[in-house]
This record gives sequence, C-alpha cells and structure tokens, in this order.
Amino acid sequence: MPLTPQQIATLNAAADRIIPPDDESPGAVASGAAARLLAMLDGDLSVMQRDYAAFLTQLDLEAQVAFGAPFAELDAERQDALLSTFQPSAFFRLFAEHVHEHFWSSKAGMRLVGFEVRG
Amino acid sequence: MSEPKRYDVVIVGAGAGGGVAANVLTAAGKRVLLLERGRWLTFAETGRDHLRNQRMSLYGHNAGPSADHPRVVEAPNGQTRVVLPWQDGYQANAAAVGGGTPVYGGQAWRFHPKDFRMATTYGVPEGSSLADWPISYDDLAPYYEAVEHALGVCGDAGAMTHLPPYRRDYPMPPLPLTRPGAIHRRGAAALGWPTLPVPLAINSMPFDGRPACIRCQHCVGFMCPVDAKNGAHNTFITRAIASGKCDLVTDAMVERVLMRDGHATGVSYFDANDHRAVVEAEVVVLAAGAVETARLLLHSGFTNDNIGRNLQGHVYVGAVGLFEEEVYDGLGPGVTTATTRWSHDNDGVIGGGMLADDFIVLPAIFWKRYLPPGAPRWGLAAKHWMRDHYRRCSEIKGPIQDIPSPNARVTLDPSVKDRWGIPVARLSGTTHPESIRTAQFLHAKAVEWLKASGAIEVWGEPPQAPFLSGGQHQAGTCRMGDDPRTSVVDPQCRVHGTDNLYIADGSVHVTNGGFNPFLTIMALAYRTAEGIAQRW
Ligand SMILES: Cc1cc2nc3c(=O)[nH]c(=O)nc-3n(C[C@H](O)[C@H](O)[C@H](O)COP(=O)(O)OP(=O)(O)OC[C@H]3O[C@@H](n4cnc5c(N)ncnc54)[C@H](O)[C@@H]3O)c2cc1C
Ligand code: SF4
Repeated sequence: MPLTPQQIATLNAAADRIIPPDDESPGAVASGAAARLLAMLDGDLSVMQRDYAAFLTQLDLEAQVAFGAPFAELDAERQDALLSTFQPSAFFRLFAEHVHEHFWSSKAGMRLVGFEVRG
Repeated sequence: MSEPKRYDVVIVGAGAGGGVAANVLTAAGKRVLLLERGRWLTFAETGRDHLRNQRMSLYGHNAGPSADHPRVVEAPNGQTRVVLPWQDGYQANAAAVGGGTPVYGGQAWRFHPKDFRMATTYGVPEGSSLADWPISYDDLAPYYEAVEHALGVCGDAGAMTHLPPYRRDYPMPPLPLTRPGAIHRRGAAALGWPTLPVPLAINSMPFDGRPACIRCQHCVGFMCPVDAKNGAHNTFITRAIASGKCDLVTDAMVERVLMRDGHATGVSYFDANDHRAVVEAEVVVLAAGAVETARLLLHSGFTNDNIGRNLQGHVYVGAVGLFEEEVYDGLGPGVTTATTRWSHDNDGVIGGGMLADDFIVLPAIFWKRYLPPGAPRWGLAAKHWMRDHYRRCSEIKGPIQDIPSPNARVTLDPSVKDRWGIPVARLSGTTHPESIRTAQFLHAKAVEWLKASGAIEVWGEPPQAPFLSGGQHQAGTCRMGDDPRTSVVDPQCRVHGTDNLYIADGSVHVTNGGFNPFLTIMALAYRTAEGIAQRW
C-alpha cells in the first residue's frame, strides 16, 4: 500500500531533521533526497514500504501523545527531541542512512563537501 | 536445431582473459567465436549513479550481471540464502564485453617473483592449500611486457625496484602527482619506505588513437567519459573483431562444454532469445571468471575434486587519515603512490601486500564506509561533520595476498537454478586464518604511513575473523599444476585429462599475489593463447 499523505508529510519532516536545511545549504527535502527516498519506496525499497508506514505512524502517534500535534507540525526542537527517543531503534538508523545516501549523492550534498564534477 | 557452426576456437567470456585470447588467436590466423553473456556498455548507459555502480552497489549496479544470475551463499553454520549480484556475499565482478575492465580502476600490477613461490618461501600452514606456481615470474615477464604495450599502461619501470629490471619501460609516463599523493610520498620518505607511481591502464597522453585522461572524479566503478581508460573492450576485443576473424555474440549464456572421450567438441549456449545453440570448435577456451568457469566445468560433468576449491580474492586493509589542512584536490583517478616495502619478508606473517593511496572517494561512499567511530549520524552535527572533514581525509589501503583454503569453494547448488535451468554457483568456506594475521600486520603499516604523512587522527579497523574473499579479484578455482590430483589445469592452462580444453581467466592462479590481479590474468591468457596457436 502506498504511503498516505500524512505519512509522506511525516517522512519529509523527519528527513529534514536528519539533514536539516541551514543558511548555507538545503536539507533533505530541498535537495531532493527525501523525494528520491519516497520514489524508492515504490521501487527498489518497496519491500520496506510497510515497515516505513508503521514507523511513520508510530512517530506521529508519539508526537500526538507528547505534544498534541502531528510530527510534521511540531517545531524543530520538539521533532529532534522525539527523534532522539527513536535513536536506539534499528529502523530509525536505517531511515537515517537512507536519507544520507540520497543527500550525499545529490547535487546539494556534493556541493556542500566540495566534490566538484569536472569532466 | 540448425547445423552447428564450426570455428577454430570458441572462447567463453569476453572479459580480461577472454579478450586477450581472442586478439592473440585471431592475430595467429584462427577463426574465433567469442561468447559473452553481457553486452557492450556505453558511458551514457552506465552513467554516474553514486548508489548503483560497481564501486558501491547499494541498490543495483551499472555493468552487470543482471538479476538473471543469482547465486547461493552458504554460511559457516550451513544456512543458505539466495543472493542477487549486487547483494552481500555474491562475490560479483562486472559482466559485459570487457568483463570487469570497462569499469575497473586499471591498477596494472605485475606479481612479485616470490608470489609464484609462496610454499617454498613460507612453508604450508596447516589447513591451507598454499602452493608454488608451476611457472615463474621469468616465464611470465615477456607476456607482462607484451600486455603493458598492447593495452597501454602508464608508469615508471625504473621505480619498480622490487622486480627484476624491465626490458622496456611502460609505453606512457605516470600521470602527474596529486596533492594527497605528494603528501604520502613525503610520509613514506620520512619512514624510509620506497614508493613508486602506481602503474595504471590509463592514457597519461594520447595513445592508440584515444585521448589522454581528463582527470575526472568517477574512475573506478564507472566507464571513462573520454575512453582514456584501457580495458579488454577498447583494445584486444576491438582488434580481434577488426581482424575479420572474430565473431562476438553478446547475450550468449553458455550452458555446457560438450565433451567426447577427453576431447571438447564445442559448447552449447542460450542466445538472446533463449534459444539453445551448439557451436563446434577445434579448441574450447573458458574465460568466464573464477566462479563461473568452475560452475561451467562442474555442470559439464567434470569430476576433478579440485574444481571450484581455493576460491580467493584479496582481503583488503585500509585506514583513513584526517589532516590539519585540506588534502582533497579532485584530480582523478586519485591513486598515485604505492609502496611494495611490505609485500614480502615480513616478520612473523606469511606474505604481505602492496599499500597505496586511493581512487577519489565519492561523498556517498565516504559517508557509508569512511566515517570514524563516534561521528554524529544525524542532524546538523552530521551534516557539518561531512562539510568540515571530507576534504581533509585521505586513505591508504591495499590487498594482502590471500592464503588459500581448499574449503573456500564453488559448488553447484543442488536445488536453485537460473532462468535457463542451469544450477547456480553455491559459495562456501572462508579464506585461511593466516590471511587475517597478514591483514592485521599490513593494516598497522597503513596506519604508520598515514601518521608519518601528517594525519592528526587515523581510523579504520583490520578484519578480525576469516571470511570468504573473491569478488572483483576472484581467482584460484581451477589452479594450475603438474599433478591432476592437486590441480585442474596443466602449466599450459589445459584442463587435465583433455587435449583441447583450456582456461584463460583468473581461475588458474595458484595464488593471487599481493597485488590487483588483472595484468597477471591478461599476461597468462596471452601465453596460453600463444601456446594454443602453436599447437593447434
Ligand atoms: C570496479 C572494479 C574495479 C577493479 N579494479 C581493478 C584494478 O584496479 N586492477 C586490477 O587488476 N583489477 C581490477 N578489477 C578486477 C578485474 O576487472 C578482474 O580481475 C578481471 O576482469 C578478471 O578477468 P577474468 O578474465 O578472470 O574475468 P572477467 O573479466 O570477469 O570476464 C569474464 C566474462 O565472462 C562472462 N561470462 C561468465 N559466465 C558466462 C557464461 N556462462 N556464458 C557467457 N559468458 C559468461 C562474464 O559476463 C564476463 O564478462 C576491478 C574490477 C571492478 C569491477
Ligand atoms: S580519471 Fe581519467 S581515465 Fe579515469 S574515468 Fe576519469 S578521465 Fe577516464
């Protein structure tokens, strides 16, 4: 089953805390990394779609319990606080890796570290 | 089925060894058929996907084999799992016209004279199948030279002081030094370790009608944007075809060697439309790579117990150094400087290996494989860590000479078959534990070198336990020897008990040297093909 709009919003918000935007460079969403991860959940990573859905729903549930709002609507500080409680979970680490893979292979990620493609 | 076609020689696999054999045999006037399960690759098609390439295949790769070629991996506890070519444990090399060479790094090393004499030099550790080659460095030297000049290798023969003097220098000088290369040369000099420019199958100047390297950032794992990297595909194979005497069939999956009374009559294969075809030939040459050549022999009914044993590649060691200043200069291919100081004669360990700086490491690969323990893994801290460290890091790494084990093995899986109905290769066993001791020794040398070069922090651990090594450097499964009880092919690389079946790929290596293997594979294929041309 494809992710629901709310799950997608949660994924985007969480990805932007894995690689936050700052003055200097875009984060996971603006770099296109989150979109590529979403596309992969319909492709190479489709076997993980269900685990992703469960993780994102859980994240939202915890957000509601702790702060009374869905994850995507929390401020960055609260989002980070919630994500920190997920840090020991293997799935959180996997999610973070997926975001990193797509960010460091994006134009923005390469530019940030000074990997310049010449030729 | 139509009347089978007849050739003088049919070669299975258009890789490093098969490509050289095709060129040498057509030059000698033979009519050759080259059968390759992969295809011609183009730069446009193989692309520059940082997550799907032959250097990091997280979600697939760019140069084959396809999902039609699964294998089975058997864990030490006997549990098995089916793996796809880009998954852990598969021991993949590329599958295309040129085999691994269109996307390789092109490090063009000759083996060390002692690499051919491992048992005599070190004795045979318990449980290992360490042995001498039946031929020596001197037997192979003229063929190394022939390949260096026919393929196009840049380097400095005068700096190869660990080898007997070359008769001819390389056809091209080394590429200019990079910033990290210069730093590592100073570091080695401070330690008193001699260094040398890494010989590369890359044009440091225009060569053979193709241009010089433009120092791009995507060398190893990718095709060259200007065709300045020399592999079997753009040299030996194009020449064989240009001779008018070689037919190349791609998408051709060879099923069996057809045998009658110790005589190979030809092979059967499935074409691009999955139709089975038979070709007849005077001589059959297998060059399908170490795993697939063993699989083919086993599926063709060969029963020599040595077939498929002694699978070996290289246990790699490496360490990352962090420098005060930026060391990255973005000049590809990146590998420039090696030491062979620790290839042999090391106290308390068997053999050793070459150490060198590395190809340019893509940011995504750096993130996946080069982070120090304790580096932040998410948030602004992680993002800024990469920003502040990527260009200040440099690696030293190298292949140690595997100490072979007869239990590291290719067999036919009893139940899993590919889509043509051929039993897939099952991989089991591990390298001998002595390989790990040598790896730990060489790792300490990599750390020492980085520190001498000025690294303020060094990280990266050596392997702790034996594992199965094969992969891109796979070799050894049909080893050469005089005695059919302990080997698969004779010193001419002809399969024992046959009169016209030869092997011309990494399978025949008795040991795999403490160096990247392709030049040795090509030199041996050259020698084997010359022998075939003389005899048949
Ligand atoms: C990314 C990368 C980097 C590398 N860098 C280096 C380097 O710097 N230096 C170095 O020395 N080596 C390097 N290598 C390794 C090098 O490419 C291999 O050692 C070499 O290609 C092996 O030669 P081979 O002839 O044994 O087999 P291959 O070159 O693997 O050729 C075998 C061919 O047979 C085909 N085949 C297999 N089974 C069948 C069948 N049943 N029917 C038809 N065709 C079949 C395969 O598709 C393949 O094309 C690298 C490899 C890769 C992938
Ligand atoms: S570094 Fe040079 S040889 Fe390698 S791919 Fe780039 S341009 Fe080609």
